[in-house]
Amino acid sequence: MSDHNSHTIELEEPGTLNDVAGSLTNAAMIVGVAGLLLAGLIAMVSGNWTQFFFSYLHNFTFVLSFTLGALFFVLIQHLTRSGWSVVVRRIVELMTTGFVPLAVLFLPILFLVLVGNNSLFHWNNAEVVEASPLIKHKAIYLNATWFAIRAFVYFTFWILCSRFYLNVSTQQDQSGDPALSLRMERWSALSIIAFALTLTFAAIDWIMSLDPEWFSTIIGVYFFSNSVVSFFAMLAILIYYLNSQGVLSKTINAEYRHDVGKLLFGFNCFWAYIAFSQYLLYWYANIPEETVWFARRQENGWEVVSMILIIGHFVIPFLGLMSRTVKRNPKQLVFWAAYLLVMCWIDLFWLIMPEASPQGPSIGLIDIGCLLGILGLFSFGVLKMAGDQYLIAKRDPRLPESLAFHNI
Amino acid sequence: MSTADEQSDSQAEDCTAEQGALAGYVAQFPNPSALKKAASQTREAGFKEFDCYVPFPVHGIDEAIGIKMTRLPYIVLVCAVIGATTAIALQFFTNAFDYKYIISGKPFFSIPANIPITFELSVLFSAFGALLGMLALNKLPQFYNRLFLLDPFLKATSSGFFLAIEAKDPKFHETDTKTFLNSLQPSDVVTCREPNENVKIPKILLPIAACILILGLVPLVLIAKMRVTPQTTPRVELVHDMDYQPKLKTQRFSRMFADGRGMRPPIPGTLARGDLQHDTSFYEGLLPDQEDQVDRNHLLPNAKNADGTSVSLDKLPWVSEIPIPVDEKLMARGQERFNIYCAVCHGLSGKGDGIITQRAMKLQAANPNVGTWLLPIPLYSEPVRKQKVGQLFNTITHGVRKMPSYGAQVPVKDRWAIVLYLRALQESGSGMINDIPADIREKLNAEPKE
Repeated sequence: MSDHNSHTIELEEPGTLNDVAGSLTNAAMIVGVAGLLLAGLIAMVSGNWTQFFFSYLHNFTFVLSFTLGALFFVLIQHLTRSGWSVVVRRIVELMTTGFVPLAVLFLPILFLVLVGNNSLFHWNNAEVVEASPLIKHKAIYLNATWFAIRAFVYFTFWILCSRFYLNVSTQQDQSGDPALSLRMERWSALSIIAFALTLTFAAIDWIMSLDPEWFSTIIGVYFFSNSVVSFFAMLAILIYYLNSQGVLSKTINAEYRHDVGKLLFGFNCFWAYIAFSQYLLYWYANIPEETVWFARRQENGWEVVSMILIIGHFVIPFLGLMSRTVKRNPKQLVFWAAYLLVMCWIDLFWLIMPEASPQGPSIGLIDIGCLLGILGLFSFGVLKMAGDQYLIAKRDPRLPESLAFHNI
Repeated sequence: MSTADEQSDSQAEDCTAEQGALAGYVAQFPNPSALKKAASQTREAGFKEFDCYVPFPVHGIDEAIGIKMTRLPYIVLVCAVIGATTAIALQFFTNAFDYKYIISGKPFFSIPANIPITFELSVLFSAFGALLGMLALNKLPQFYNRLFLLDPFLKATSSGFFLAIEAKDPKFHETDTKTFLNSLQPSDVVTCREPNENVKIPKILLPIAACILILGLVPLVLIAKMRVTPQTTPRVELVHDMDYQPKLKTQRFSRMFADGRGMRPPIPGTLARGDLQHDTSFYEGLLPDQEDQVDRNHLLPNAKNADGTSVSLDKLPWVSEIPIPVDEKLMARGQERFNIYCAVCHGLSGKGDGIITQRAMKLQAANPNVGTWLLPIPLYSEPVRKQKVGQLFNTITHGVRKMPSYGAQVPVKDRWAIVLYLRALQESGSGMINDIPADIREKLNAEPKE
């Protein structure tokens, strides 16, 4: 439509990731190494290695969650042949390079399991398995070898899939060939099925199996909803950061903030829906081996964390992010995004940590150290691997459509 | 330009052959950008009562006309809150107030159970609010718009971009406004007039509408009457579902048989499969050679003789040996079944301290006049030990004193397994220190006492 032209925004030259954030590369590495060293040191002094392992796993899944959300975003844009998202898609594609540092960061967990340590995963001990008929029944799935093979499969798929989409997309920067878009679209359907399966089984392996006797058929979806919320929160923060650096500040305007805000709001409601669906069934059926997992989260101070999630993760942002004005305003949107990112972190804390300390929640320097450590090394990896990439898919055939994007 | 004006004037004359009052001017523009520009200028000129008509949504036209952000979200929000409140109130009234009913042992009013309904009603009310609110804010449905009378206006659904200024606008002036519109460089300006005032709704329509309305009430009144009137004839069924099927249901009449019964008694001299319980030692725990002397009513709990005295169960001809092969497997099965069915009252050791008993005694201690629970006697006590296995089996089958029957829950072979395990419990419960092998005895003595 001719009318669109009057609204099309001028495309700015965003430069490469290094132009914007290259100076942060070394800082990220220093923060990462220092964070992990600090956490490790405290664990060594206090002798509380279990706490360290669980904190490490918690923060690892946190960083993994928004990286998975990013991969999901890339896949769904191709699957639906979306035009509006082209100006932000490259930023998300760059986020997905983080699967490589995440794979490296997963090695300590894998090592722990392979040497037979069972402080993280109780099922990794022949005596525990022998003592419980339930775990014994699951031993065919929950064993170190098969665990390692699965982890290898997950990371292989995530890395290959994210590389494929980034490579083809940057290839298009050179040639501008529309056939490349079609190629990415063709693969997106299969990829998203594989994505759903790998994410679900990863959630089962790394979160659900912490209590090997417990089971939830919805845990994969739960982790997925959390991943997508934390991803959109992360995206909103990244957009704010880039704009504040004067990068793409006219291109990614209120229309895009509005849409990212809407998706953040919508997926947060989805999270609440899934979380409640899981709770309602267990609450109604009231079967001891199922409710024990929730019982652990309803006593010794964990009930406070549970209430924080209900009110803080759903009720407050539901009312806070509802308004159109809030979603379009850069400062207000980034506030709610940061707030929800913290809530997503608490959500994973609530999923994972009660298995380590049923006697009550506690956040200490080990948690902070692990968070900074993993986030730092993750950022370092992304900046190293994607530093020379351009920040926008400049010759995507749908870029004009994206530039003309306008909310009603 | 002047020739174009004349042309459009003459066209306007044609459109409204019978002259009505001046309703406004409609200007046509060649494209959306021109229309948007014109709309901004019209707004800046101070006009309020004007609108644009386009065949597709034009971005930015709202700002150009000066349309404010819609109030629809607030209507939807209010509807959602009303929906949520209605749902909570409804569930409170029905479940926790008017008809209290325990479901799955949950409280009468429990939030988790109410959330799905609350969610659904919030969404439903919001959807109604959004649809009806949108219609109301757009002043729809409108059956008639005088702009439809203008010939060029028909293009508003395909390729025309129109701007109409209403005559009711305070700034409207018969000639100045037209000049103003022409200054916006439209491709055409036409005059819109009110339709001929003589055109009115025919008077006959009113009584017809009233009749239709009243007739429309007749079915409702009939239904209401039928609801409160007792009927002797079968109901009228519009939809049969699967109510009538050529099959016989239990307790129903049938013409197929002489006695009119749909349910058939067994043919004399025959038995259904599984009903032949000829082996009385297995099925009843009674000796086969004397079972015909036993009145089966005497096997039931608290049975009385003809003279009113209690039946002495001990005297009946019980079997003294378990009538099936006894092995380790049967013992394990017996233990498992005992722990499932018996231990809740009798306790895992048979002492009579199962969790139900414990709780009942605690409640009875708190309210001495209420409870009727009796402590089960320890299963290893002398009177129970003396009983033959047949009698133990009978107790499980039919119950005894206050103990209910377990014949329906526990299959015959499992009952014998329980009897076997019971014997083992009795052995361990009444054993003396000398029954324990010497080497284990020493080990036990070496352990610290509790």
